[in-house]
Amino acid sequence: MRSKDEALSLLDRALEAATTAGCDAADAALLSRAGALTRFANNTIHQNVAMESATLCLRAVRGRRTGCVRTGVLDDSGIADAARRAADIAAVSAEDPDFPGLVESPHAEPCGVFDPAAAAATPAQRAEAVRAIIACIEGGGAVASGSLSTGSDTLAVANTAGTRQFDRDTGVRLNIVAMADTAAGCAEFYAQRLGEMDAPERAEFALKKCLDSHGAGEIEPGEYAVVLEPPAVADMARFLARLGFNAQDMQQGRSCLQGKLGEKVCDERISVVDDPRDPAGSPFAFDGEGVPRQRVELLAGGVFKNVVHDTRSAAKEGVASTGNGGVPPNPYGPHPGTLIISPGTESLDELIGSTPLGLLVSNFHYTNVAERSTCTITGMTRYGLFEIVDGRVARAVRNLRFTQSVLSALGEVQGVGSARERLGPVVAPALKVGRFRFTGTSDH
Amino acid sequence: MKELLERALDAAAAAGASHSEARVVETTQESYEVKNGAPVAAVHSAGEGLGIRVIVDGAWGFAAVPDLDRGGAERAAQQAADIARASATAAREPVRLAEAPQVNGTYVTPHEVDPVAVPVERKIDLLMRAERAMQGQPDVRITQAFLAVLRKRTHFANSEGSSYDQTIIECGGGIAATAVKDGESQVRSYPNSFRGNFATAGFEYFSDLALEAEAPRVAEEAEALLSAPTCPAGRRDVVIEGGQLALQVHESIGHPIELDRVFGTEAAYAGTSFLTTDKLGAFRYGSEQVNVVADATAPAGLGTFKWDDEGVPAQNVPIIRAGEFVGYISDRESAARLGVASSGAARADGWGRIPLVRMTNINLLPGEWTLDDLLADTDGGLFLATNRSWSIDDRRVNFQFGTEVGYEIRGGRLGQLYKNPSYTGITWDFWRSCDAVCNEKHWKLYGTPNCGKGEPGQSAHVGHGVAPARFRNVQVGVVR
Repeated sequence: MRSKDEALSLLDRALEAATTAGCDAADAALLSRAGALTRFANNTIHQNVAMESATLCLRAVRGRRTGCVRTGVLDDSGIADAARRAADIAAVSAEDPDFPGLVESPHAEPCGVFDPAAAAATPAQRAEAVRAIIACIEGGGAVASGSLSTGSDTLAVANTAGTRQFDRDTGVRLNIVAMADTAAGCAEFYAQRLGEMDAPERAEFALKKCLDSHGAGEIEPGEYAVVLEPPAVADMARFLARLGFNAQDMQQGRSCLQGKLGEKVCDERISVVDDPRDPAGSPFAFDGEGVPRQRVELLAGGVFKNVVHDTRSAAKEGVASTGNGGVPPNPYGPHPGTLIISPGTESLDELIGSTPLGLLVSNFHYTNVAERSTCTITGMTRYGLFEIVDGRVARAVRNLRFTQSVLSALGEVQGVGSARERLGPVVAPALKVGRFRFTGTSDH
Repeated sequence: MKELLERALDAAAAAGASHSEARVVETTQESYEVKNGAPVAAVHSAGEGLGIRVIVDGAWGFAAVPDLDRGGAERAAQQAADIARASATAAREPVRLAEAPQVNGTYVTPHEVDPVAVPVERKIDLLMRAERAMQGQPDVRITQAFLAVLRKRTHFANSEGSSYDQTIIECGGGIAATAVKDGESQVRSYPNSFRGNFATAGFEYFSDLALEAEAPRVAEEAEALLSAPTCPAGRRDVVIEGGQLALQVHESIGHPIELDRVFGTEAAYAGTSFLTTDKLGAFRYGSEQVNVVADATAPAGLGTFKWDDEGVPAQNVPIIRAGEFVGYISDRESAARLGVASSGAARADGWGRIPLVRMTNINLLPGEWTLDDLLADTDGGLFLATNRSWSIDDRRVNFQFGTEVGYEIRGGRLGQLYKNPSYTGITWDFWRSCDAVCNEKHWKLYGTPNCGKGEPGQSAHVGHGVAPARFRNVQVGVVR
């Protein structure tokens, strides 16, 4: 992996080459990754890989014309070739009247968590953890599958207006599935530090879910009160972020929160913030355009407070980017980097205990947008669906398909869990929702 | 490159590998998007690297590096061997591979015009014209035109003496109009949703899409959707057109027949398959009208090649014959477990990924009907076109799709337009309800360039040949 000086020096050479090629301005990003992933299924390691990569993303600017090149050839001739090609594309492209130009962003103090142990984790270390997981799950009478990945990422961004940023982090992700016939349980773990991983504890969790969901009975689709465990809540939150908080979508009139800025859009127990420096999430100092990431309140007490911006959407409104842009070009617009959902006061047992009749949902699977304007999504339940009767988990039931507006569900919140899980870019508690719509069944 | 590959294989052997395969992949891609009168993306991408997969002590290891030199090859081989040794500490059975013929040769996708060589200004001009031709409708707020080209050259060699030099050329694109009013948005696309349609072909494929000519209709239909009634719920006979039917094939046939998935190797991610091996030759997948093949030799299919990423020749494999399930798609490892030969479906997403069992061109073979006759015979049914949403469970049983448009079929014609159509069902019930497939005249290949699978994630380019088909008594309209 390149050091900060090496990465920024490479970007300087790319910017200089773009200028030499006749560009008015240019910006460049260097994404470097070194990662490894050990995958297991049927109680054995079946795939085990490692990869190093580095990609230079260079955008050449001529007036309001731009051209972009991405290359993994990072020697001097590769950089020069990329610059020439980007300049050539910009020269013959059409003008983009909404191109906001390049500006100097203030220095963003790095905040990524870099754990040398995670960066240097060996295949033997990963295999040792996997063997422990397999032993636990197999010992419990189930079959283990999953993956354990370790690695590091760096991002450096510079432009000819004077922006120079560098940050790096490490990542550890563990996914465990225990299966017995068609019953299954899952446990996930995300962190920056390898030492925080407790693989046996996660394996025990997945095994218990699997054993609890064995012998699932039939249940009719329909409307139920639900207790959604954090993985299901995180899945919903990702769709709300995608369809609701993007300033570009708002400007185009197609956000699911269109016209509702400042209005109450869900239960007052729901607050969500995009906080790039919250250690509970995935701290990182700046976005793909080199703009320092800001803390943005998205929902506060159920009120829709803000959208997120990149430089393009911000320029349209005469405001500053919130640091939510992708590496250019990014026609999809800005996106929240992390979603931190505020915790409530109730334990999972208390959320279940206050439910006379309903369903406990462990996870969702293959969720997709069914209708944008209402943020209606559809997907299946997975890794354990349980019927709640008189405040107790009464039995496992077969998976159901749901088709449900996220906004409507968040409007029906009756309780928020006090414990939260980090699930990729989302930190989520459990939620109790008064009404949730299930629309189909499956065979397991 | 041959010398570099041999260096990698030699280094793997010296590190203790009993089997190894190395690939150097050089990729050139271009992606263009014009949106609301301006090019918002014009990107040229170039990448290259070496990946090597080895078996040591009966277990797999893989490593990939961007350095195309002797040092990089040796480092990757040693790292792959070290990883394989770690794998062996949690292995039960040694990896076995099905026999494969030794292959050697060169292949380039048949094409007329190298799409990478077409001047950038011409590409952008074609998109600007197509995009401009969608403007003018009062509520069409977003107009987009897309073009993507790919040239991927793979140099392959394995320790069994196979080697090849294969260049795949892809091209495609499309247009989309989004009408927006009162917080509602409706999209209409051509020739398929999600950036268009794609093929292994030269730039002539993109030119033949005639995007500019189709643009006004696309915009008009997007506008019309805003005022159309919502598709009513109920059980209906449906005629499903090509683009949507291609995705239906993809999700409810293409993925379930992946033999690695059947054996559980995707269990912790995308899931498994209902299509357990006891069903091979003993399961009614669909009606007698349903005939499906996995054809990696289909001209211009997005899943067309000469050799897969294990060096196995491309094949045309029967999957469903007159409704009966007769075959899987496989790689050498999964095929060995079943005691058959590989179907030649081991495909990797570039130099940094291992081959997985991936779809090639999963084609629903044409039937006998003309579309006019089929519509005339489906009075009161619905015609559903162009995918908008998709979801299927982890065993590929329960699915739900949304389409951009639905039309009432009346008097042999398309009548009332409906917005937000959706339909849902159980895989085998759905395919068993198919009682008509249109003929060869209506049969067309669709390319899906973003099929996700595996960890780390891989995106495969796969194809689906389909003609419109009819399905009886389908649950429609479940969103509201």
